[in-house]
Amino acid sequence: MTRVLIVDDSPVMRHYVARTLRMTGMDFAIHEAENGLVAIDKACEIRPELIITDLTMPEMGGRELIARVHAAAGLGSTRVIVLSADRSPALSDELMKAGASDYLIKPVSPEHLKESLMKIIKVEV
Amino acid sequence: MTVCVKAPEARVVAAALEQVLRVMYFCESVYQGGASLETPVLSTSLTFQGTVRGVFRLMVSERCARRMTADFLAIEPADVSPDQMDATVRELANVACGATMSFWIPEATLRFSVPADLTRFDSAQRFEHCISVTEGLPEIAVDVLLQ
Repeated sequence: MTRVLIVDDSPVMRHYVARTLRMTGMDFAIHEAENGLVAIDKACEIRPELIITDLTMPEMGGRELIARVHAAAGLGSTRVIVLSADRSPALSDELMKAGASDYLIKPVSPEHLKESLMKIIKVEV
Repeated sequence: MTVCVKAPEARVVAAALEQVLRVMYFCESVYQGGASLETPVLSTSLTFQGTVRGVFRLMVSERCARRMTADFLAIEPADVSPDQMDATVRELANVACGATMSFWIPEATLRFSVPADLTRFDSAQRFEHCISVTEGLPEIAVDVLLQ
């Protein structure tokens, strides 16, 4: 079972992403966190294969979370997908260089999210 | 560097909101122009800064917010809690702001704040950019205030 950690300060977005994951028909163990600070502790505990995170959150956002994940012992194989409403042209490059496996711009359709998940899970998990 | 520009035109707001509502909330929308929303109205705002700076405000009639929340979470409207409605409207504001700014100034590099807690008002106010979602009446409004 693939362990996935959904990180977003919006509970409705966590619900939306979790529902989309279930719609893929794949077997996921879904965990949630409301910001990067909570997420890094949870990630060290559950060792997720995949983190799907928002970019802008209180306490700790997606940028710092990516850096912490890559620096943490035991999370070397954890992949990170960033979901954000921020469409700044340079952001995608910045996040990919920082270690994100994919960057999806909101509004993201269930089909698009599923496509990204399948690509990353198939290739890297 | 901050540049001086006018606020976004109607076609920009209409295109941005149409995309957000269709892709994420599965709603067909119609741009209505200047109008008032049915009260009570829920409102939130977020700031943006970078190439331009200002405030993006989103207003939604409470009835529309309840229905959108129910659809988004796949639950009955009567089962929607105030917290769920709050989170849905704030998320809509976040995504609508990103889309509007991108349609308006595609090359802009911006940082957005977290949407503010909702405020609720009962008095009718007129807004420049209104959108209807399902009932043909103005239900959602946005405005962009440049600083």
